[in-house]
Amino acid sequence: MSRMIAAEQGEGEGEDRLQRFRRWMAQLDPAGDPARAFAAGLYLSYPRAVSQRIAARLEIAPASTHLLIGGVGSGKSTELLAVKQRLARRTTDTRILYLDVSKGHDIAKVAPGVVIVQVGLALAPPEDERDEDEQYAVRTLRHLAEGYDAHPPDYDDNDGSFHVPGILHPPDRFTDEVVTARDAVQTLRGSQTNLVVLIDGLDRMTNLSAFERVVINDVAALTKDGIGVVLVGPLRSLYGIDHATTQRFDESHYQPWIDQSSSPEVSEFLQHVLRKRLPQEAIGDRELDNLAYFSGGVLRDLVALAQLACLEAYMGDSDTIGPEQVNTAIDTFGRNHMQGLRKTDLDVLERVRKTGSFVHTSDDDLALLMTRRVLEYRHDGRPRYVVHPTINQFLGDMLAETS
Amino acid sequence: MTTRPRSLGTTALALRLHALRGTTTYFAYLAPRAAIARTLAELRDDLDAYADDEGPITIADASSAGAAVLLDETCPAAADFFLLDVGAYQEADWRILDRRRSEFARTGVTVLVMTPDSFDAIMRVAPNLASWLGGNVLCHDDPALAPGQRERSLAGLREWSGKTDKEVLREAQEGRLPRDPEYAEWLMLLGRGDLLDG
Repeated sequence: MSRMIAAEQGEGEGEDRLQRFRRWMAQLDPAGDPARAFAAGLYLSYPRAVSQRIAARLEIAPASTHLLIGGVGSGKSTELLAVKQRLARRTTDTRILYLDVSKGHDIAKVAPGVVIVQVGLALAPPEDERDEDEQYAVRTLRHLAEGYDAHPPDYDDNDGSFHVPGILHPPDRFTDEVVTARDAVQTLRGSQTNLVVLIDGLDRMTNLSAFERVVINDVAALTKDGIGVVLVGPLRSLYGIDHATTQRFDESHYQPWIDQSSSPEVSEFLQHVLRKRLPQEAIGDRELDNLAYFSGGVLRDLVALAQLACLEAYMGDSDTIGPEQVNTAIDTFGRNHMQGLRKTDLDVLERVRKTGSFVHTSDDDLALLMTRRVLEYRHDGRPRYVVHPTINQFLGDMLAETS
Repeated sequence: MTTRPRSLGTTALALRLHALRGTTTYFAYLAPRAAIARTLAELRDDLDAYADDEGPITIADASSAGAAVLLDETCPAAADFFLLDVGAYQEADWRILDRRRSEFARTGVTVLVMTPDSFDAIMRVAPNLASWLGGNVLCHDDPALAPGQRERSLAGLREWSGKTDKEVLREAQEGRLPRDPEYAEWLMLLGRGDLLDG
């Protein structure tokens, strides 16, 4: 293998070719940190983007609350970062925090207080810049987060201490912690006129009851103190959550997968997303269009397909991504998404493919949505269902085999 | 018609991974449970072969007994390539990795070596992790385990190129072998991976 690489380098263009393809593939990182893609200027705003609406609302009402829900790979985290960027450009008196609460904490163990404690810790200035009140506030939050050793009332030297567990692990009581955290957050907020927190990471929660308790406690506590909140919620909450929970937000926003059939402008948007990352020398317009179609409007899948096609081009010694490489990428992607499907899943998919009808009555049905085998688009609030385009070609044959 | 993921040997996979160096990419590489440790070792050796061409390449590998242990005790390694034996993972492990995906995130190329059944489980219960894998799922093509398969692979290469094994070996020895990855795979199937460094 080193001989092959040496041959490429010896030719002069070989090294350039590898570096060129690496640069293209790095710009297509589907699993990369959205913040990096944002910083590299690769974000493209979707027409009537959710971030536009949320930022406009927060500009007028910085203490408003927003629930953002969308499918896997639809771009929710990127839209939160877009909200941050838009607000930062338009306001000078608003501090904007972005938090992924799932980092460093298992969201299966989310309990009331988890969000507000993390907001407080994120607000804390560097240790050497804290005044006495702020030091106390941070200490309080750390105790809440990590637990602390306490003594019983009226203890004497013979009494031992006992450990109060932190709330970043399952607590016994919630309300007191939230109240305590709230006071600490207020101290750390200081004289900041407006504060908006963008909370990411809770979309992967599967326990909707736990999610509701966080909303009822943490979000409500932040809101009472005039802090704006944009919170990414679980997709399941679209289908299973009590409406009373969504009504605790001023607005709910749905981040859709992109329905290319809705307008030519929408279809062009997907092509523009790729064109921003791949120059004309890398891929022609027809191949871009093909990738856009087979992505089903799922932004992460769009970028993943393009990266796959780019890799195929490099491996096949081609200098550009042509139809053959695009077709191989689509085939490979589709095969992978056929794995793990049971006969009952195939029957559901076939029904969606033939009739567009999809009624999710079970966890298995919801799993088909979550894993993007079934895609949901929305127009005027009404859903439309299709099978992911990359698996269409395999469905008929798989059904015939299982029959 | 088969819908199984495509098959590749470790040599060809290493070439792909090498091309992706510098990206943030996650791969699933599927192999029988009994072959996972050996597959991981072979992949490490194949990646090591690139170390002289572009300066040092860092490769970390680990065998993980469970996702909770991986996340709580082992930080994802800071390396160009992170090879992880997850042959023992069950559905519960994939659920944990799925919801704690942010903790698992790392820059560089990560390869999860697992069984086909395990990947099926990911596609059922770990939609966020599956989204990161995208189309980067390959089956291990192991000539040592499947002699019939090895011969079919060789027959396919002969038909593709119009050459014989003898001709390919002679060209490799004379330094005239084209640099298509298929020829690298051909030499490995013939047990002459040593000629790749000639």
